[in-house]
Parts: sequence; structure tokens; C-alpha cells
Amino acid sequence: MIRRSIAVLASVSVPMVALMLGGYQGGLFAQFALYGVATAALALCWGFAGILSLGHAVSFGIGAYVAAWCGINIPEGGTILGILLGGLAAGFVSMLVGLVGLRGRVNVITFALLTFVLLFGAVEVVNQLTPITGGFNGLAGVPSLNLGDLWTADPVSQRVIVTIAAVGLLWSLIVVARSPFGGVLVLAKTHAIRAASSGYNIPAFRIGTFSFAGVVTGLAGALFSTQTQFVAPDQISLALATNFVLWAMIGSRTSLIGSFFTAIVISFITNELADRFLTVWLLAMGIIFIAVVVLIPDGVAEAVLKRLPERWHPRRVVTLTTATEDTSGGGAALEAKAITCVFGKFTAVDDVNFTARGGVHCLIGPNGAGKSTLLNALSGTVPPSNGTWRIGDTDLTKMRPWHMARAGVARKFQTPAIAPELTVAQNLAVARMGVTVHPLALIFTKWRADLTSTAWRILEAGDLVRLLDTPAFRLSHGQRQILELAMTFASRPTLVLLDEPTAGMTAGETASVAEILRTEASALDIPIVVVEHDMALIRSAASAVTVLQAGRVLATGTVEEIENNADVTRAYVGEGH
Amino acid sequence: MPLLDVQGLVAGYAGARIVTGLDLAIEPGEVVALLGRNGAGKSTAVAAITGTLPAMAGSIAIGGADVTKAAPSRRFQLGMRTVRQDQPILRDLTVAENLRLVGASKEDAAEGFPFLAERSSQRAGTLSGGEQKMLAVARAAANPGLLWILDEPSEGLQPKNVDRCAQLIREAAARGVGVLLVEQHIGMALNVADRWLVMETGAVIDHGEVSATTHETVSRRLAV
Amino acid sequence: MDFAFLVDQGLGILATASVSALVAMGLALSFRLMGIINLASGDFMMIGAYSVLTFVAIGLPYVVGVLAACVIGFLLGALTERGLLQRFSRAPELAILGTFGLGIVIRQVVELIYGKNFQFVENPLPGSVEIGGAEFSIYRLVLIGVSVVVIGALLLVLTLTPLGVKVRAVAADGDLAETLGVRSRRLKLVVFAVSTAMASLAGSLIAPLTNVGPGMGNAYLFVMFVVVIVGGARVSMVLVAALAIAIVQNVTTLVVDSLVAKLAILAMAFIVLAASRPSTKGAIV
Repeated sequence: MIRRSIAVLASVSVPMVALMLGGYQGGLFAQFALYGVATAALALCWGFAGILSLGHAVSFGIGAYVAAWCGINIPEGGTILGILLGGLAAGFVSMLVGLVGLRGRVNVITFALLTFVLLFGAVEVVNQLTPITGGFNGLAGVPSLNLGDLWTADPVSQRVIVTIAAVGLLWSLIVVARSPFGGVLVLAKTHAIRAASSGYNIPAFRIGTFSFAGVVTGLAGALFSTQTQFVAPDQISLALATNFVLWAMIGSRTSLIGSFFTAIVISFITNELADRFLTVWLLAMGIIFIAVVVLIPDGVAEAVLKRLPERWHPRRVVTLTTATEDTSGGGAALEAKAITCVFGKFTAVDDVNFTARGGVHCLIGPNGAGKSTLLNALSGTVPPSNGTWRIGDTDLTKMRPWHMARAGVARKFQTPAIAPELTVAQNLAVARMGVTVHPLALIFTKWRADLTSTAWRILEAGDLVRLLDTPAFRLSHGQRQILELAMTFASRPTLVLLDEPTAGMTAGETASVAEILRTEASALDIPIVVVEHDMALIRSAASAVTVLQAGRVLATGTVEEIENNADVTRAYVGEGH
Repeated sequence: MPLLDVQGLVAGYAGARIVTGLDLAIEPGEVVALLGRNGAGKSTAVAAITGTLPAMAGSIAIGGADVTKAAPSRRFQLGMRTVRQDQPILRDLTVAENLRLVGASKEDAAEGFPFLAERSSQRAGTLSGGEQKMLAVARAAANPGLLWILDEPSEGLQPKNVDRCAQLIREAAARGVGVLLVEQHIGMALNVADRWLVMETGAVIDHGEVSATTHETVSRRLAV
Repeated sequence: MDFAFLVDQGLGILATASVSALVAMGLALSFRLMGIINLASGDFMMIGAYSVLTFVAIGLPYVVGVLAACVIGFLLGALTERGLLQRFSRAPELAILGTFGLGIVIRQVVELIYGKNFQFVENPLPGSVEIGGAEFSIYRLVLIGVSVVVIGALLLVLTLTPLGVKVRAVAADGDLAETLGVRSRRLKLVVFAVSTAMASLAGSLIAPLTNVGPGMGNAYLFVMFVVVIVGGARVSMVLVAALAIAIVQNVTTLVVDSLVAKLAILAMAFIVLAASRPSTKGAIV
């Protein structure tokens, strides 16, 4: 409640400041608030989605130029149309850049470089396409906000409307960042494959976020041109792009509000000092840049928050409930036919056929037998070269990992994949929502999730229930394993694929996990396929075992049958056992 | 003089001291098993001893030379050989290049695990997890130095290769190498070790010589 | 189009390509090893040009200026690596922002000392020779020759000495390589310093052909970075990319104009990225 009041108060006070400051200062304040919005949009991409754009000024400049051109050349309502078109155009360009640079695995540096060269290109276009952009001189005489002959904003209402719009845009960014959608971005920043296997199409999330930030920045640039009534190459320059990055870094890229206010404050200081000491000022900027990178790389807001007691900025509390038990939907068997995985000359999995019915089905075999490769193939993370597989009537063969997760396939990775910046409960909620909530609906969804009783049992076995509101970076390796296992079971699965789930767990934890897997598999009647070495776990939990050797199935049967199989003993256990 | 002498070691990450005062010494030819539950601080201790994580307090010496602040490469020069828990080999290099980096040949390594000779020109990242562990152990055996720090060398290995791994450790110890063996697999650890230590909340809480009753004692210790 | 014209254009392309290859190869090496791009590369080129300018102005031979440019580039690079980059081995985007700030500082300091105005370095080898009927500047031929020798020498070191395996080991996993006895900190220091020395060398070589000013580096950054985007972190690919981009740039400038040439290069970067399957690691050469 207190948080919300402070937020409302802050939102109202920003336009009030614009009103109270005199004409000149108030106008500057409105301009700088728009810089603040653009900076916050950059922070959303950088701090949450892990995408750094060194050419953020391109979006701002496109918005400014499109709005200016429309305002000048379309007398009736051109300004409003121009603002909208400016936002759309910036969003469209961002989307194109995203489509090129954000598919698949993203290298932050390559993407930063791509946006950087794009900026160089845009600067050239603006400077040389004089008939449209006015070249070095820019476009003067941009009208202020107006509705044709009906209404034209006077300077006071102009700057109040602009600042209100700026606050509105800032809020739209904050809503995205704080929603479960933002949580997905943060998870994908550290473990993209985990996020994909939780049901999220990560490239789409990233491209969407980058495009949305482009729209918001374009709108800010468009409003900027109506405020200054002038647009120049400055608005698409290397200097502005540099400033956006610098402000976001000083303010904290993980704090949109911090970035917003930092942009305003530093812009005022620059405005006071730059004209008087131009050369020294640029030198000082360079030195400040280096100093911030070295001394407060996380930014001022993070540095302040770290020193404040936790009750001043409590972690987001997530409401976790228990889902009503629904035992329908089980009973489907996994049927894999002719699965083959070839890497270059090496055939890791060679024509494997197997069927897993309800129960724990262990995959064992000598090292290099292709167990993990098979699991990766079945979960779609490394699609096989050949073969088909289905669960019940659902063909999984051509599905991407997120599609598969939404079809009920749950996957746990060998090394724990969680989002360290989120709390334990947030991690669980993000894992739960992937299966049921539409990606766009995530933005407007509350942090609330109903976990299966299986997930709760796992959390209890690892004593994690009391740590739900703890940020996950404080967990030990074993606790992270437990958390990811609980995330795997956050929703009701129809098929579960686990890669060495108990690696790094103690004997006691392993025993509890084995018991949980065994009872859940039979209660829900679903196949749980487990790659495992631990014979104790296999003996206590497995209802069936498939032995792989050199990429082929050596034997399938009950634990007893396998233990008495002479071929298996020879290949797997070796002499003397 | 012990080969490895760790005194009062404190290590951890920002805000969290995970190893809170570890003392341990390893003599030449001795195999010491470091056991403990998950989160007891074993892996953090190993990171500090091998130098990938700076020690917050305490001292570490190899053969009498203080290395508390020395880079891992300096510790390698002094004879330390490490097999770390996750991704113990360089995935982008071939098997042969992984060996060449430490001055070992594929023939040396094949004495440890014969399959390495025929796979020597393969990119090490295409080996399975267990095969990568074997390559790492063979790498240590091929250029054994004086002191081995092994973090879960048997994780992911089939029983036959766990035995081979234990055999390589014993052979090295017989030639005077000191070994610190961190293991979840108590059976394997106590099979090769001369002494055992149990860690709990960042420090050694119990230790002893390996004897017939050790397995039971230690299991009870770990099952708390 | 006669033969002489083709020779003229071909050598022009080679000259452009060899300068960008010099810088881009250093960029690719440090990208591979440390995962970062030196955004101040253009300013290291500028430093190289100013060293030649300064040494020639006090009456020393041109060659001394070029050698001094290499040494200064190497030392400044080493200083940057030790003072700035080493602390960000785990945060590459902060490291590149650090180099960005450094670039601003270098530019402003040079501007304070030398002023903002363009200056010129006299061409030490003003003559020209006839090749296949085309007149070609001797200096440009020397420039191509020096670049080819430097690049070739570096390639030989990387393929024939243990250094190549060490570089790849550190590129793949610096921590692990350290525990295997590779002094990765020193290796990174040397590689980064070599990359800045190469940028500085390139700057000193182009000084007689261009306007020397504090902001001159930016004009080259664009092409360098596109070369790295197109070529990735693999040194051999970077060389191919440098040549391909020089062809596109020179031909488009000749046929249309320099704006379209820039946009064509930009389009190349986008097309290559869009067409490539995202894979990051591979062989170095």
C-alpha cells in the first residue's frame, strides 16, 4: 500500500515540477523527461533482457524525424499522426534488428556491435539525405501539439502534456519489467534453454521486448520534436546513444526509475556546464564513464538499495497455492521410434526404439552411450537427425522446446538452471506460468501461481518452503537442484525427462526424491524418464530400465531382469561386480 | 614437510562465507578423502585451494611454498594437478590438444584409459560427460606432478571405470603423489583413501584413519 | 573496362582491405580470447597517426614514427588491459563500455594537446610505379606489403607455436586453462596489447593518405566493426570478410556513391547475421 502511494505521488509530482519550473527550465525538464523514458527503455532491454544496444539513439531519432516531418508537411492533425507513426517506425526498425540479431543464441557483444554499426549507418543517412531530413541543419518549425485548427497547445499545457505522457510511457515500461513477463526475461538472461523448456519462446520474448522498447523510445523522440519544435542530427547521434548508455549505467540498468531520474539530473548538469567548458566537459564525461564502469558498475540505484535495510525495499512476495488435484490426463505412453542423432562423423544415438509407460523409466548405460543425447533429442533442445516420438496421441517430433512444454513435457537439466536474481517463489511461478499463461497475458498477470502437490513435496524434502522469498543466488548447489526439480513439476506434466536429477544431492535427499518420483509416477500414471547412475535410486524407484550402449538399446526390462542380464553385466558393471 | 598445508582457510562469495576455517595437510603418497553433505563447503574449499576463488583468510602452501595469493598457473608449476567437478576439460580443443597443453602425449594418457588413443583427434566437447572426466583423470596421470586435487572424479562414471579411476589414484600415490579426493561416492573414496575428513558448515568436524569400521562411522556422520 | 583500370581498382581494394584486416584481426583475436570488442580501436588508430606526425615533425625518419606507433599502441593497450579490462573478465559488456569511455578520453586529450584542426603527414614515398599499364602509388604498395607481412607472421605464430593452443584454451575457458598451467592473465594482456599495436600500426600507415585529426578514428570504426560482425571471432574468416567488404565498398563507391556504399556494407552485416546459424566456437584459423 505504502509502495503504491509513493508511486502515485511520484507520478503526479513529475508533471507538477514541469508546471512549477519557469518557461525555459520547465521546457528543458519536459525534454529531459523524454530522454529519461528512452533511457528507461534501454534499461529494460539491458538490465532485464540482457540485450545491450549501443545504437539506442536510432529509435529516438527515427521517432523525432518522422514526427517532425509529418508535423511540418501534414497541416491537419499531422503532429498526432506523426507521433504515432514515429513510434511505429522506431518499433519496426527495432523489430528488424531484433529479427536479425536476437534469434537463437545471443552474444551480447555481437548484438551491441550490430546496433553500433546501425547507428553509424543512420547517422550517414540523416546527414546526407538532405531533401527529407534537412541534412546538418535539421528540420525547423515543427509545430507543437495540435489538433489542426481546433486546438494548439500553449507552451505550458504543451510541457505538462509531454511530461504526463513521459510518466505514462515510463509506467508502461515498469509494468512490463515487474510482471512475470519481466521474470521470464530475467530467467532467459541466465538460462535461455531452461526458459524455453518451461514453455517460453525466448527469441520472441527478446525480439518483442526490444521492439516494444523501440516503440516507447520512438514515441519519446516524437514528443521531443514537438517540445523543441526542431529536430537535428543530434537526436540520432553517437553522442546521444552514448549518453543513453551512460545514464542507464549510472542510474542502474536494473532500475527503470533510477535510469529515468538519472537521465534528467545529468542532463540538467550537462546543460549548465557543457557550454562553458566544452572540451574539458567531454574529457570529464569520458573519465566519469570509466569511473562508473570501474566503481559502481551496477549503478547508483542498486548501490543505494544494497545499503538500505531490506524492509525498505522488500522482495516481491509471490502468492503460491496448491493446485486442485486433477488426476485425469495420465496413462499416455511415450513411444520413440528410430531416434538417431549424428554429429559430424559421430553417431551418438543410433536407431533407438523404446516405449515408456506410467512409472519411473531409467536410462542407464556406460559413459558415452548416448543417454543425455537421447534426452536432449526427446526434449527438443537438440533435435535428432532422424526418428519420431509421441506421447499418447500427441506427436512431439517437430515441436520446439517451448511448444513441447506447453504440451506437458517437463525437463530438468543436469546442472541446475534457475534465475539467481529472482526469488525461489518467483522461479517457481515463472516455471508454472509457462504452460498455461499466454505470453502477452504475462504482462498483466499477478505474481500468483498454483503449484502441484508434487512440487510442494519436493520443496519440503529439500527444506525450501521456508526460503520461498529468498533470492535464489543465496541457495547452495544442492538447493538449486531441488528448486529446479520442483520447477519441473510446477505444472501437471504428461511426460517428465530428468537428467541425473540427484547429482550433487546427499544420500538422504536422493532417497526422498526417489520416493517422490516413484509415488508420483504411479499416482499420475505418467512416464518419468530418468538418466541415472545411482543404483540405489534405480532399485528403489524404477519400474523399467533401458540400457544403452554405444548409441543402441542393449536391453529393456525390470530392474531385476536387467541385473540378471549377462550382456548388461558385461558391458556396464564390468568384471568383479 | 606436508605437500599441501592448508591452515585456517576462509573462502566464499560476496556476503557468504562458505568455508569458515579449514585446516588440512597432505603428506607425500597419502590419499585423503574429503567428505561431507551437500553445501558443506567442499567445492568452495577446492576452488580456494586450486586458486580459482581467492581465499578470504588463512594460508595455503604447496611443498612449503606459500601460494595463498598465487594464480592457479603458479600452483600448477609447483606440481598441483586439478580435476574439477564441472566440465573438467577444454571442450573446444581436441583430446590430443587437451593433453599437449599440460605436456602430456596421447600415449601417456592411453595408459590410463585406452579409448583416448583412438579418439585423440576428436573435439573433447563431443565426448560424453563421463568420458570427459576420464580424460581429465588421464591428463593428471600422464603428467602427475606432486599433488592431485580431484573434485568428484567418479561422478558420471560406470562402475568399471570408477575402479580404473581408483586404480590410477592408488598408482600415483604409490609413486609419492599426495591426493585430495572430494567424493559423494563414499564407497569409492574409502576404498582408495588412507585418511578421511568430514566437513560440515565450512569446517572439518571429524576425521580419522580409514579402517574396516570407517564406512559405518562416516555414513552415520553424513546422515545427520 | 581495360586491364589497367582493373589493376588500379584491384590494388585499391587490396589497400583498403589490408588496413581493415590489420585492425580487425586484432579485434577478432581479443574478441575470441576475452569476449570483448575494443570500442576505442579507432582512437588507437588515431594515436598511431599522431605518433608518426609527431616524430616526422621533429625530423626523425618516417619509419621511426611507424615503429614508435607500434610501441606506443602496445604499451597503451597493455596499460588498458591491466588497469581497466582485467577487472571485468566476467562482465564483457562493462569492459566494452570501459573502452568506450577510454576512447572519449583519448580523443579529448589529443585534442587538448594538438588542437582540433586537421593536420597532414607528408607522403614519404611519393612516386608511383606502372603495373599492368596502371599507375600505382609506391606508398600504397608498401602499405599492402607491410600489412601482409604482419598478418602472415601473426598467422604463423598462431598455427605453428604452442601459443595457438594456449590462446584457444584460454578463449574456451580461462579458469580451466589457468589450472592447467597457462598464464592466462599474461596471455590476455599480450594479445590485447598486440591488437592495439596493430590498430596503431594501421593508423600510422594511413596517416600520409588522410586527414589526421582527433576524430579520424570514427571514420574507420564502421568498416572494422562490420568486418568483425561478418567474420566473427575466427581470424581466417575476418581476413575473408575484410576483403569482401573492401570489394563491396570500393565498387559501390565507384558505381553509385559513398552513402550507398556504407548502406551496402551495413546490409552485408545484417544479411550475414541473418543467414548464419548462431554458432560461437570453432577453430581459430
